[in-house]
Amino acid sequence: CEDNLDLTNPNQITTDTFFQTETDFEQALISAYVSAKSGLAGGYTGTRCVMLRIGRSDEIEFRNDIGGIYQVSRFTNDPDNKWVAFMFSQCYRGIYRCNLIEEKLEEKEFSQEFKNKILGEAYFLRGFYYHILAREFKDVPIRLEASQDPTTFPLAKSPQSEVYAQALADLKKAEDLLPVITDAASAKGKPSKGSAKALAGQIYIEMNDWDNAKTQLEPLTKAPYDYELVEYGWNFDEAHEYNKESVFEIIFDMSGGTNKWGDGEDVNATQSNTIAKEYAAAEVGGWFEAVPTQVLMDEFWKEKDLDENFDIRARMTVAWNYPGCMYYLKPFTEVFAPEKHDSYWFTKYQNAYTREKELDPMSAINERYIRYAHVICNLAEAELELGNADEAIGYLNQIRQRANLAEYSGGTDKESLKAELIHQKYIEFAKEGVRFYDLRRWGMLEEALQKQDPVRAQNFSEKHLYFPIPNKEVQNNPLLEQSTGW
Amino acid sequence: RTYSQSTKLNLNLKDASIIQVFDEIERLSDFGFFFKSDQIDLNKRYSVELKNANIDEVMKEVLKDERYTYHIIDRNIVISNSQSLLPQKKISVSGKVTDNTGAPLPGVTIVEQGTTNGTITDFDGNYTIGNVPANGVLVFSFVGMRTQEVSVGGQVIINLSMEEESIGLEEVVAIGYGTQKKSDLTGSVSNVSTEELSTQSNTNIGQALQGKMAGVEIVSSGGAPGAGSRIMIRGIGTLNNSSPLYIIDGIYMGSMDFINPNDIESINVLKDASASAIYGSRAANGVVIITTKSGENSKGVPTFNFSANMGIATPAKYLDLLDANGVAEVVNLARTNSGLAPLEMLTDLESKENNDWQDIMMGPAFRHNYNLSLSGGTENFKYYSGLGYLGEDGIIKGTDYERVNGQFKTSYQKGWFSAGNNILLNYENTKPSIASYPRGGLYGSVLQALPTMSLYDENNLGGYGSNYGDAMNLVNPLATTDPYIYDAYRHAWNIYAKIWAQAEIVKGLKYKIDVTPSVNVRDNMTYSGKYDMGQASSIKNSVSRNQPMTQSLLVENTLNFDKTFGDHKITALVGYTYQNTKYRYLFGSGSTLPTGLLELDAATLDRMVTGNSVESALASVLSRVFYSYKNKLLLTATLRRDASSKFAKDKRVGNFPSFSVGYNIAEEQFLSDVEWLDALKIRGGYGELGNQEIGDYKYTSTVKTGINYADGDGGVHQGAFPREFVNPIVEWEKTSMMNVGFDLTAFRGKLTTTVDLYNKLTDDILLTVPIPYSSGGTNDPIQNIGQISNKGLEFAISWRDDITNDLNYSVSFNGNFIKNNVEKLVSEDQVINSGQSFRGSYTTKTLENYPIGGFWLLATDGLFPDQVAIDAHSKEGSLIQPQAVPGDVKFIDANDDGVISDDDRIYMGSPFPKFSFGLNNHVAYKDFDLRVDVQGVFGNKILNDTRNVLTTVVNGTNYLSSTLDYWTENNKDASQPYLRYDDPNGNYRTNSDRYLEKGDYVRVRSIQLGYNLPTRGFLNKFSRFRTYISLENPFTFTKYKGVSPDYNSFNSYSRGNDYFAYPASKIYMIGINVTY
Repeated sequence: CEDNLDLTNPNQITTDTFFQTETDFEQALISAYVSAKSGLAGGYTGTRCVMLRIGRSDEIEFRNDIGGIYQVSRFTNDPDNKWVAFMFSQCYRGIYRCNLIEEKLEEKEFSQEFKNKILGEAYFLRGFYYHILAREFKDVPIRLEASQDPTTFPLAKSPQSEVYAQALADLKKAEDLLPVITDAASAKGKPSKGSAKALAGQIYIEMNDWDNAKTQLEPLTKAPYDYELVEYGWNFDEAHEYNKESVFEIIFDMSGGTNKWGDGEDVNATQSNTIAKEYAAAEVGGWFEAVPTQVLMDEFWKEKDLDENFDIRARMTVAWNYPGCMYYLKPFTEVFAPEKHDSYWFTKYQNAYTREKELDPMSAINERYIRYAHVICNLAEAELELGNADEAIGYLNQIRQRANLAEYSGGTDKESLKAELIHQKYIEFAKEGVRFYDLRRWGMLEEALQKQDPVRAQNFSEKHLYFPIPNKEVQNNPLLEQSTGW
Repeated sequence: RTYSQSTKLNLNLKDASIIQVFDEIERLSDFGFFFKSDQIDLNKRYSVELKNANIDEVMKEVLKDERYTYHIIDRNIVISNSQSLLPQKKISVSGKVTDNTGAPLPGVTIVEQGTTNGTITDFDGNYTIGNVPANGVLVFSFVGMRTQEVSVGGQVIINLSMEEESIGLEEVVAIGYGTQKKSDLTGSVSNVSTEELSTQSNTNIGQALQGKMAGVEIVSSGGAPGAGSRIMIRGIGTLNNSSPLYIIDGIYMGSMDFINPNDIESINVLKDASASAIYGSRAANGVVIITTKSGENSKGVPTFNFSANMGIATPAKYLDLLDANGVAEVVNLARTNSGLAPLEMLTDLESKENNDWQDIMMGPAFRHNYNLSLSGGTENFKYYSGLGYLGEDGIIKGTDYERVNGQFKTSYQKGWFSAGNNILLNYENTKPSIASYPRGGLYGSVLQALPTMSLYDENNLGGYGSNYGDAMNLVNPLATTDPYIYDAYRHAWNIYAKIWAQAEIVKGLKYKIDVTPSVNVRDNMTYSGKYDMGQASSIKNSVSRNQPMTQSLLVENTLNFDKTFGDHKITALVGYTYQNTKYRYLFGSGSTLPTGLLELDAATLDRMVTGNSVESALASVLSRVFYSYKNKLLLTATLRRDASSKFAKDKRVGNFPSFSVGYNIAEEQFLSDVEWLDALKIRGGYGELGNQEIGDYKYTSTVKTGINYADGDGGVHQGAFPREFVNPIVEWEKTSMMNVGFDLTAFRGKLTTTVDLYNKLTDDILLTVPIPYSSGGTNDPIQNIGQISNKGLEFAISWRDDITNDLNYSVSFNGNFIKNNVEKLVSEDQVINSGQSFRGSYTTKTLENYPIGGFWLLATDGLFPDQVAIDAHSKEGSLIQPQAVPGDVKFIDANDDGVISDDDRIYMGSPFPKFSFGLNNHVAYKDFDLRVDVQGVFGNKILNDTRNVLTTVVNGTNYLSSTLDYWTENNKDASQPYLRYDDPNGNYRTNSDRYLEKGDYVRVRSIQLGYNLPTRGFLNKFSRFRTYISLENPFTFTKYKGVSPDYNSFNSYSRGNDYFAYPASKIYMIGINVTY
């Protein structure tokens, strides 16, 4: 009977037969994207990681039973925090996939064109993941080989500068291999040469490397690229995905299956996300997990537009009790009982203009990870720092103009311009996971927290500038040490 | 025991004739006397006063001065005159010697008393002995049988049935692929019979076993109806599945929970390697062998047995929770102290309900149990059929359970051939609560529900009250009992159909084949209706069903050899077995059904189906040799070779040998004068066992498909990746075990004692070793890493005595001292953190030189009384707890680095008891009997995670009333810290010692009082009519503040974490048991 012991897994293909055909490589590459979007298992553009990105700045308040997220937002988190651990692990999961694809592709004799196509995207994704690791965890291990051999697992941290350098090197390779895409809708969700440049530019900004940032980003304002700022609200709805402002976006769709709560890696996983239901008010079927802060509202209300309306960006980001305000297709005052008329609710990335209620926790709005507005603001900052006030004002006016604001008329000294940039970025990118990293770079974080909530500021300390390395990593990677303060 | 041994007589006669003496004995018993009146002196007067004597003692006393001899043949006593006038003629006597089953006994020695004239029986048990005086006495002796003296009395044919040796040693125990006399055992085997288990009142066999066997620890997996027990034999030697192997009538089963206790005849537990090595690769956690009842030769007259009981279960304990006023006080104060407005649900209390959710959701529950069996047979054909029904309601609403059992067993024997079948059927219907619901499932929701949440609210979809505002997102517990809101069942069918045949090829050599197909089918349904409970809402109804099915075929071929050559007895076994197990899983779901329909076809949206299957096989060769010399020296050796599909081809085979010896010292001449000593045996053994309890195909890497990414056009890009990290060299986990012990029986069987000392060492543990995230692995692959030891001493002492004919009692005490230790892991630095609370902190560590899953926690030192104390708690001028305010918890900076972090966790104790014991008492007086069973454990710790959640005042939920004792300037001795809703100091972190408690407890497991109605008058149709009342878990003595001190989490790494375990219950029951 011992022959009967040779049993093969009937459910899955075994590794021996994989990585043979072009289709295998295409499928493997797709799996490397999934690490970026898993909603509840650490995808950087998924529901929970977006919460981690926005939760540490002064723009949002989370309800205190949003376990793990609330602790991060109150700076009472520890290295056991599971959402942070998921973020960390998803990055390396994606990196492993890119590494293995690269290694396996080398052995194959496909056309160079095919190889370039695969490699271009794989390098972009690896750069994308290393960028996340560097900006969120500072110093992390750099792993460029895919290995299941336990002896290769221990790996020391590299300094943040080297991790950034690795991301930049990957993005440079990607830039060389990826095509220029002028019509985002023709290559939905796929990175282009422009995506690689824009992300590299963002990294240079984070490194305060203004020259390189300018060099990277300036070409994006010219042919062959034809990015432009579109109507502000188009960036956060389902109807205007892949528009001219889109530099790189992650797709959320109603396709796939019905499983909303897994890691996104099974055939039944939904391609949608739960974000809209989670932020919506109870009155429209939501879970009211977070609301805008008063300081954000105050910032929104600072300047009215040329038609004496509230800034379109305020109106597209938040619903509150102003004349004509609609929330989920009904007048704000009709949705909420009188005692809640002074409450604020997010509408950005919500289905507030298309649905009456957030019923199912399934939303299909793409996450615009890099908008052309990022590029413009980064260029404005680079020019500002390089002492080119006129250029900086030019970029700032592009942003103001799109928001129907008058041309910039403030001081042209660096300080005034910087204040304008800070203000514009605050409202332009509210709830998009941009401000925390800006405040950190600008050394303004404590001050901003103090203004928003003294208790949070009191909880905050130096170590909270970056996430701790998750405990599982520290405990099982003997060469790695926990970050200072944790 | 034979009639003559078991019948006790009280005689009190004065000046009686011998005929009167005999008459009196005949009146008191079934004995009858045969004598020739002309050989008896009818005039002689006798005075006899005897109490509680057996017939042998009576006859010796009566005839002490006489020349008469007597001979007891079953219930007949033949009196003869030894100096009778028969001529001293020599005759030749022949006959046949059989055992008590009628099988011929070869090799029996027959000697004429006082001479060397003798012979032995041949293969057919026949003998002839010549030259015997007609009034001589023949002595029949045989190893293991009681030696008998028979007066020839002129007979030329004397057939004799020999009986096995008495004083309890003739007891036969199941040892796997056979049985063995207890006196021949060389391994460590515990044995319980059904009488000791009160199986009638126990609906779960595991619970009935609690405290009954030394070294066999039974812990609860929660008190939910139908919940099974977890059994650990001699500690936990593996980090994988640590439950023992269950063998029920020779059939491998994954659990014994569904067996009807009423059908069980006896339970044997093979504890050491030498006893269990015959089961090789699956025996590392010990083997539980259950033998079910069989029919007996009732000469064709069937026996009916009917038993029934019913009773009430009540929660063993209610927790002392806050009412609306109380929770409003603590929650709103905590919020105010953190600058938050009071919780909407806890203001304006007059207008709100004040519900006691424990009272609403928990309460006495009814249970009832009926069993009917029919058994009987003839010499050649025997049968047993049993049917049972059990209905158990949950002490928490909506958690009911029922079970139906059937068993049909027949056996046929004629001459050299025998055959039979055994069919076990089982059906279970469990109503599961919303276990997947976060924050402690249904029980967690009951305890945490705010008193102010209204029961009903017609404005809400579904009609039940809901939380709102900043209150915790919890369901309304009552709503989950409404089938229109939530409905579920777990149906299970288990069918085992065994057919066997055995042939005696030549004398002493038997071939047996067993074929057992089995099917286990589950049908699980979950329905979620439309409801709106505030945060928890569902706007469309949905149904999901899944059907796992396991099919298995077990084929076992064995050859048994059994032979005695003079003083040498040999039994040997060889066998070949093969088992194949196929598992298939189907899942389907859909939504938006017409109300009241639960079938997938009725779903109009979101239809979904998935499925998968796995298969495993195990092929084994087994062998065992037992040798006994003069019943004194006993040797057992076994070897099993297993080949498993779970490992790669070159790692597939495991060999599991064992060897053990026993020495019956009491058989030695030099101890024959020690009258009080009946038997003393010293045993010792060593063996190796395996464990293959990992998933299938773990040695090979597969490609995961379905890692898809939207294409933006309504479809998906197909994605796939070999994402699983695997270890191709994974192989058997090995357990080696050393055991020495002794068994002692003394004072004519009144005292029995067994003591065992063991060292169980598990090597190459199959361990999912955590790997760093940065490796890119999505899973922790299984590796063979590490070594765990369990060293222990276990003992069982039992005393039984019959004080008078009407009063007898027994007391048994057993205990087990055990120490669990991780000897080696991957490296000295390797730590496996576990015991993660829902908030993510680890509470246990598994590392070298500590027990598995030991508690590693932050030490605390009370509450800071003032700012001075906070300032003093500093390192090099900077505060160790900068966020603390007076009234916050002081944490000890164990590693002295100036901050409180995970590294400050220190070892705080083990979840494993150092000592566990059982004390079982039984008294019978006339027709009454009383059984009181006590058990307990000492030296373990429990992490009361339930108490943590119920005192962590940072959420809009209910809390324990102890939270009212919070710190204020005026209450500095408070048990609870200063209330702050966002808890910046981390007062409530789960990884502190504030929630660690001693797990010691002593529990009166059961008290049962029975009364056997005299089967006279209108009851004379019955051979037995017993009634009883029974109390289960009536008293528990413990300082543990949780609900069930014997609860044990399933996770090996965090055994002692009590997180909303379903509460235990006290059960009051009455029952009858009738045999007709």
